[in-house]
Amino acid sequence: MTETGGDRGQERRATLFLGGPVRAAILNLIGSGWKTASQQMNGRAGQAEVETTEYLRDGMRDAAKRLGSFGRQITVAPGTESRSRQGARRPKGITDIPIYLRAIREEYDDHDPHAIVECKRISGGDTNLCREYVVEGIDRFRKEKYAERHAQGFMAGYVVSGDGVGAVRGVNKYLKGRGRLEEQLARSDEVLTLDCWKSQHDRGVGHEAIHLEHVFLMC
Amino acid sequence: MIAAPLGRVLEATGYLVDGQPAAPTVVLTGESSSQQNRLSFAPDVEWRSRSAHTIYFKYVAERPSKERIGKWQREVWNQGFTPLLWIVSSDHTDIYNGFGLPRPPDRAGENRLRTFRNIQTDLRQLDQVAGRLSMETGQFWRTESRVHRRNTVDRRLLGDISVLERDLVRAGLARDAAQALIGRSIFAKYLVDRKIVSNVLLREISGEANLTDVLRCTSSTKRFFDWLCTTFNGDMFPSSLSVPDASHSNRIAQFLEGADPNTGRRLLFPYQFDVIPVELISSIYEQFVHIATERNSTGVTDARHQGVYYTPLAVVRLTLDRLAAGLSGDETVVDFTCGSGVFLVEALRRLVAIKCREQIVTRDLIRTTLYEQIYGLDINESAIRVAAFSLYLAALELDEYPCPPEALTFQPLIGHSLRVGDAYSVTEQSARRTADTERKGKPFDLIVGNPPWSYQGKEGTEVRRARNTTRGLSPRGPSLDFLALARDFGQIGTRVGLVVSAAPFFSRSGTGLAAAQDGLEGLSDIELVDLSAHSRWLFSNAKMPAIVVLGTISDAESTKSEHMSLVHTPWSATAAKGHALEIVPADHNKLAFRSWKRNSNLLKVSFVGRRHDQLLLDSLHDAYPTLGRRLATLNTELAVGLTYGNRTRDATFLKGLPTLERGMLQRFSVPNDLLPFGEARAERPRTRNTYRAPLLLIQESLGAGGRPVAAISNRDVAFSKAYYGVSFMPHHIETAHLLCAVLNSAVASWYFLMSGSEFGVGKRRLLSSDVAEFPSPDFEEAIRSTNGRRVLRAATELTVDHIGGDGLTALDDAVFDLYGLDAVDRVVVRNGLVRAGWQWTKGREHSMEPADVDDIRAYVQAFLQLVEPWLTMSGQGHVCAEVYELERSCPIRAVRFIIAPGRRESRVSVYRPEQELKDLLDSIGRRASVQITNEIVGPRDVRVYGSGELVILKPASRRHWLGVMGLEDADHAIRHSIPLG
Repeated sequence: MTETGGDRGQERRATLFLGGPVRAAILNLIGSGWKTASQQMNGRAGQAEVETTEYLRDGMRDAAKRLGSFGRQITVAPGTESRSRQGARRPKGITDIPIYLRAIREEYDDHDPHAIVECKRISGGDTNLCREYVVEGIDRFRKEKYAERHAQGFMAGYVVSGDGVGAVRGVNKYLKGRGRLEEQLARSDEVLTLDCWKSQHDRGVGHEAIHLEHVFLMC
Repeated sequence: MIAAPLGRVLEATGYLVDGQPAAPTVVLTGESSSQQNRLSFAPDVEWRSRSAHTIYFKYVAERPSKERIGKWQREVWNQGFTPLLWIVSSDHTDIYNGFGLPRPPDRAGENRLRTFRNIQTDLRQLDQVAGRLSMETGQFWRTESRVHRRNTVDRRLLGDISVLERDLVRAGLARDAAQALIGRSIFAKYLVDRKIVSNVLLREISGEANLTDVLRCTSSTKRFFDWLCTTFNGDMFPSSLSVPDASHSNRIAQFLEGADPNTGRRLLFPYQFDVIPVELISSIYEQFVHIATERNSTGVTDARHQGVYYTPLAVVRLTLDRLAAGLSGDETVVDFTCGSGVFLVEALRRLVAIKCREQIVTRDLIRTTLYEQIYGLDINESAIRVAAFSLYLAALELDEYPCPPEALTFQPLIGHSLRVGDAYSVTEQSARRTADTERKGKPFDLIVGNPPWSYQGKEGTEVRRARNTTRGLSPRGPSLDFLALARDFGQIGTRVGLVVSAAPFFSRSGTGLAAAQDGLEGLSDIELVDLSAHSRWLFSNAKMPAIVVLGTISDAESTKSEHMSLVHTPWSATAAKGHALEIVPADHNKLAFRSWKRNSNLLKVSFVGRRHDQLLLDSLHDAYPTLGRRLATLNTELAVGLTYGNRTRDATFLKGLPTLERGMLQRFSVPNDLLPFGEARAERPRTRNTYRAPLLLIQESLGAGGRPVAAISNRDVAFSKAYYGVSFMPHHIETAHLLCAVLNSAVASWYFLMSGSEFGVGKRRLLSSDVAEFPSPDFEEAIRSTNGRRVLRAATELTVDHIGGDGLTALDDAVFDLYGLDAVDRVVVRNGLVRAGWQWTKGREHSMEPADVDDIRAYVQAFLQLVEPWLTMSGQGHVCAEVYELERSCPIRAVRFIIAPGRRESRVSVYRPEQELKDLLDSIGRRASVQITNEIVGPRDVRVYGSGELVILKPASRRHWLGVMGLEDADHAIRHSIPLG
């Protein structure tokens, strides 16, 4: 993701809660998209984060289209700014994979992303990548650089070496080292066919905690 | 306390649950009902729909005598809004027609519709016929043809006073004088019936104790009218008024006795003016004055010439209902074209009612409201007199103890709060004299009315142009001008509710559309209510459909960010037979004002269509250029046929050409036996090239069922203006055939319904601009493509003898492929064809028939088209859909969707419940802890979300169970899993 300037914007909009089937569908979409992306990248997956994310995005779009009308109900958009606050004129961050749900846009005429997927390279044995995953990934949701009005967020970890469980251990170790025990990742059964994990992060008084769904994609 | 037999009947028919009202529409009234205080009949329970229809339930231990029944039925009939009267005795329930003309006592039984024994089997039948769900969903009106508004008190009285007026005119009375005399007589009769003038007092005043006797004696009449003039004021009974001639008064007396004017035989006089709602009396009188308006030299009534249409009470109520929220009762109201004051009467009643929530009703309160808050203008002096009459009546009606009569003197209204003149003259010439004199220049709080709609000729347009230099003028009549006028008379916060012509809103004409959009600029909280589906009974003589514009005066910037609320009130048997408008949540849509400014097509589709229609329309407009542009690349264009008209131009170049006149074209076929063109001159003969073959001909009016009619002629053919034509180069013959096929398809039908200027909003025709805007594929590319060849093949197989369902379905499928429509789009378009058929009686009636299992299966399949991919992608299971197969007469239909574990294809099964509907609803409700029957109020959808399941209940009519509704319900279910907190 790319950082831009920010402001506190204006009035806060209602929080968006994604139901279980919707969260699972987004996670599976990431999983299906990854199958296509990793094939198309011919072993280069994960080498460059930005390029890998572009492939993942295309893969997710193809997967959505393969399900007929699903492709019209969900839009996997290019990385875009998010203005969680109504009237904010200086968005604070550009999201990696913003997702729009037609049902939300039509009902509430809401053009801000409805779900955000943050993508990061990860390796359990690489402290630097684990730190990046937390500081430049999880904390962007936690500190409301975006997803300020979302109850859920999504993270895709490109596992460049080792496996998903190792990646989780590395991330949790980093969190534990900073006294953030409650924020550690735990196994999720949201989608049984994917290596899914979940975590929860407080965002201060008066703000909904953010629930993150993590999926680790083997490069 | 409700008597036990009545309680049992009402429980069995769904009006009561456990002895309590099943829904807010059911009211336990009892003897103390103040509404009934002037009636001998006091119901025990009432059901009141939101559209004002009422059913009375009355318990009597023994079935009452004919005399008693006749008296009750007559009172109910005089109330005007009561379709049914239930008389429940210990053994039987008799259902009487509340709209049926009262009969003499010995024939009172003629208004009995049915009798049911109070036993389970009969009560079950009664529930199906007229139970609460049957009434709420409108199914009652579909099946019962004897209860119809054509027999109600207003219709009957209107007919009777029209005959009375005719007779008075024939007897030498001037029409205006006849109308005035009838008005005064009705007023006098009201005073007597209401006992404001008792028989004793009448004798004291006139020497006669009976009104008809008064009228039969010239001196008594004079004394009585003089007394009325003194007691009330000159507005109603000007002192200059001459005493009616004996023959005229005698004819009025005959009317009031119910005597046949030809035989003198006394019939039952059905009217009770103390019972007829006063707003109905003023509405009747307005209709009467409107109908009776003298014909002008062109044979058109003055009212029609001026584009004036009387305002049905249903529209007045709808308008004021939607403006009334949050009023304090202290607001001022003005109607610039008040006619006989039907808006003003209803506004007065409502303002007084609001004030009375916190204050005691006093005569002073009523009169102050009348004098200081109600204002009207009209160019017609007799209309203003009627308005005064109506307002006086309303004020008396609201007055709980209107006596002694001497204390009832009204201040004059005419010349004060009611004025003769047009609103512009008030603005320009007399510096808002009305406002200055009475209102001290203050702006009004509510501006309501039904301004004239019709085109008033070039002269009228010139006058309008001179008045209005800053805004675009609607080319089709002045009604929109009144929106601008409202801003002059209002202020920020003033609420506006005007009935205007809908034509400019749907027009493709730049000026009409600009005028409609300009008219709304400066309003916020905009709501547009499309009444086009009800033109036949609301505005039967109008050439244009109507729309109600509601909003709050604001600044132009607010409008730019405005999301307009659009309400399309669909045709229904309740409306057609019961003349009641009921708006339910499913009739609402939203559209951003700026989106409409950007894309004018959006308004029509937002009214007529559903969300998925809008999406498809957008995507077709994005994907394909218009037919007009495609034709231009082939060096041709769409032409309108010749007009004979005033025959001012040479047309000899058409001599001998076979000529296609209105009604001759058949789908895919031009008749061989066309007569040669024989005229030497025509107003617009067009050019010879217009008629050169190969020629694509498109009929202006759509075929019955809503499918356009197009054909190719391989020989030159002249065609009248009932057709549009495209002359192709000979080497483009295949393109012509391809386009012809596409225009005969369901895609074209759906498109024209969703975007045509007139089709679907009161008319069944296409305008050339509608056809020219049709999104069209690249013809050259298409005829080379597999899909294009399939379209051509499908069209070739359709011969005149074999144009039927299968062939057209194959054609539709081929066109769907040509346009790349997916399964969801196909549901939308196929349903579009069905909805296009609703513009014809047969289609409308079909839409009101109860949905059968196949209809509901199609609905479920459409629902699954959207929901299934979510479940597949989430891996969270599959859907098991249960279609409840209920009896045909059941007023609702139900479907249950259950999310079952495991990845497999969704399953649809039909389930025939063993239990009664009530028990079925209870069992569904128990699972979700919802009292379902409470939720069914009006013809609305009910969605019950339980754990892993969704039950959808809707009225039984097919129109609620179209596939496109399944798509919309699926969207709702998906949205339900993404709540906003």
